[in-house]
Amino acid sequence: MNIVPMMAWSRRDLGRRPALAVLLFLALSTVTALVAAVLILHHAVVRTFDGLLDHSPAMVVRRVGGGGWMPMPVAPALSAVRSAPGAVRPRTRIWGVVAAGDVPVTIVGVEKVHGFGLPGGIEVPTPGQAWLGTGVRWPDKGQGLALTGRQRVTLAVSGRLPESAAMAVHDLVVLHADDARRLLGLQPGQASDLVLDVFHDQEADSLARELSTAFPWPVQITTRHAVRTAYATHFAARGAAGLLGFIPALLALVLLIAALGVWGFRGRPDMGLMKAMGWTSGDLLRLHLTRAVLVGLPAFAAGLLGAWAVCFFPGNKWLPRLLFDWSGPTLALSPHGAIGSLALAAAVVFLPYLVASFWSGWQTVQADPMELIQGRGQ
Amino acid sequence: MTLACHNLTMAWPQAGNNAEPLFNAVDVGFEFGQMTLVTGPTGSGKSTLLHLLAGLLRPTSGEVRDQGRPVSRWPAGHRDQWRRQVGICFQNLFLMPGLSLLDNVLQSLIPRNMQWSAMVDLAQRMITVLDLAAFMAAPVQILSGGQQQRAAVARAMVHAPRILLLDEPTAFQDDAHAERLMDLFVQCAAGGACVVVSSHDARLRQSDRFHARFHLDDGVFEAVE
Amino acid sequence: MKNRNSDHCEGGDCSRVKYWVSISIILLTVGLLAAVAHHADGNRREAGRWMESLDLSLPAFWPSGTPLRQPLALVPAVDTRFIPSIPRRLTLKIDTVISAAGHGMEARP
Repeated sequence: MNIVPMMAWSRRDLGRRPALAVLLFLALSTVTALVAAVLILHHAVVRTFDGLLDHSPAMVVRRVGGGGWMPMPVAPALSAVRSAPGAVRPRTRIWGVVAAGDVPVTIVGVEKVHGFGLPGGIEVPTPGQAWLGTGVRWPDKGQGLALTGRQRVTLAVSGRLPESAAMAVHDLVVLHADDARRLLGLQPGQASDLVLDVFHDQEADSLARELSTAFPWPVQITTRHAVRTAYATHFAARGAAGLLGFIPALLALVLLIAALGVWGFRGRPDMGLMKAMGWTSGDLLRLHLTRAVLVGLPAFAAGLLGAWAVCFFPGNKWLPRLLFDWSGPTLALSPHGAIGSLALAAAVVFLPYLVASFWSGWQTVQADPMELIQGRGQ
Repeated sequence: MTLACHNLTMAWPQAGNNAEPLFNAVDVGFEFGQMTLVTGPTGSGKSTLLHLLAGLLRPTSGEVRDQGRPVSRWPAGHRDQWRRQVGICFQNLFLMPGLSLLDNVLQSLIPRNMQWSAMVDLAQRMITVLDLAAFMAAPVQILSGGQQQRAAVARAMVHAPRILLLDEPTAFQDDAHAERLMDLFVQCAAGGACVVVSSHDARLRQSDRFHARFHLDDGVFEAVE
Repeated sequence: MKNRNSDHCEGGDCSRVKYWVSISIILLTVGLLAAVAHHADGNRREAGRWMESLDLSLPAFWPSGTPLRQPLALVPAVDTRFIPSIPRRLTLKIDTVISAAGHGMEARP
């Protein structure tokens, strides 16, 4: 049979029961959006997190004692690392968590040495100055920003760090190293910890064992690979919890199939009449499927687009709250590889829908025409 | 060449085992290229006979044979294919509400492997012949009874069927339109089709354009001279 | 659907218009998606530059001061199961090398 007349007739048939068609469209697009959003989100968050982690130091060395973290003397630490072959660009960090009002913020101390500069041409802060991430509250705009750590320090705010980098610096305060030391209770020549890179990530584990004996104090060494693994496990657990969203989605799918059954039942007299007019069971089944696809395909596309928009559209503020229980940075998730999630959503939603359509159509077209016309079909 | 009922018995299963069959062991033939009129009182089974001839119902026993082929015994799929050669106009019309007149007529053409534009042209010509051109795009439910009846005839005839079965096709027509319809039926028979008309209409009973006439009463077919 | 002209449209001139309208919608959608992806790419690159510049260990997905943002701030010897203020789902265990060189102790918790 020619496909154009079949499509045209299917459109007419749908137009005869627009409410049912709209209901099916809404139900199918909602189910698709829900399932696809869960799948895409999980994939995209993991991928984005992994991508950002690639820019973090390969190893972190922290000095620890009986009470946990301890300040690290810079000179002996650097000297110890340099003795280990394979350690690339060791450097110390001055960072920690202090209170800005009643909200914890992460501070990072920097200073203008060895040509160090901040991205985007932002001036390295001098003592008494600070750059704030977009998520740091600064209520008294005329006043400085008061931070409380070991000491209370008030800093003049030079400006906001770029919103486009919020995934890294959302609640960060970048300040001069001396101010950071004062806030964290570090003495000159001390740092929070030490980081270094390696030529290849695979070397990190063996280097960590080697480094563990190179320091004159107990240290805790964390590799990027270990961090990645730990968070992958965490995301997998959260993703599994997110899959609970499938339960209402599956219920909706059951209702959808029931609606399709109603659709098929209500269409029985018409089906009988069409058989009397020369339509074969195959024609009617094709009509039923064409009708289902005419509603289902746009609904499916709308659902996928909706899920895509929810996950990737810029300026999405509620997503971090949903994912991380925090009104954190606007996420710019990576859409790369989301096609696989879309394909999975297709398999989960569209195939059962098509099967249900086929089944309800098949049930209908089996009966004799007059039985269908008179409503005495199977 | 005939469309024949051979030893045909029809009883409604819903009526129970003791109910009288509608007709019992009927043997009757309808010639191709001829117009046949079937008359009979209400409830005598004229409509059921047409439904059996169209392959819409299966007989309780016996066969409907198209040129010797036992079509009523064929499986549903084969009967579906065969039914493409049949055009039927129901007494209750069974037009599809919510669709335009053109769409209702197109309904018969959709499963036939034609181009869409050719289908539309054919349907429009048929509608014009039946004096309904002004209502081409109108929803079928707003047409008058006579117009709806002509729409149902148009739907039955548009694909030039080899077997044309018409149940009270002129009941709601004025004389002029009844005559117009008769002209079309005669043309169809002249083209080689087997045309079977069931009717109470006195105008048809008195018409001399039928080649054969049968009276159905109490389950018995009688040829009327 | 309800008039003669629109029925001609089904298989004739209007189908070409519908074809181009559909193509335009698809192209617009693809363009929009590409623009969104490009914008997000830019933001991720920028965030990556800042992480490198400040030697940040983790992105700011979780708030400062929480175990997920600074997981190593928890003392490894303390089992977080006994800290009711930290829900289990907010903690994670990172495989670290802890050494006490010169003190005869080395372990992988």
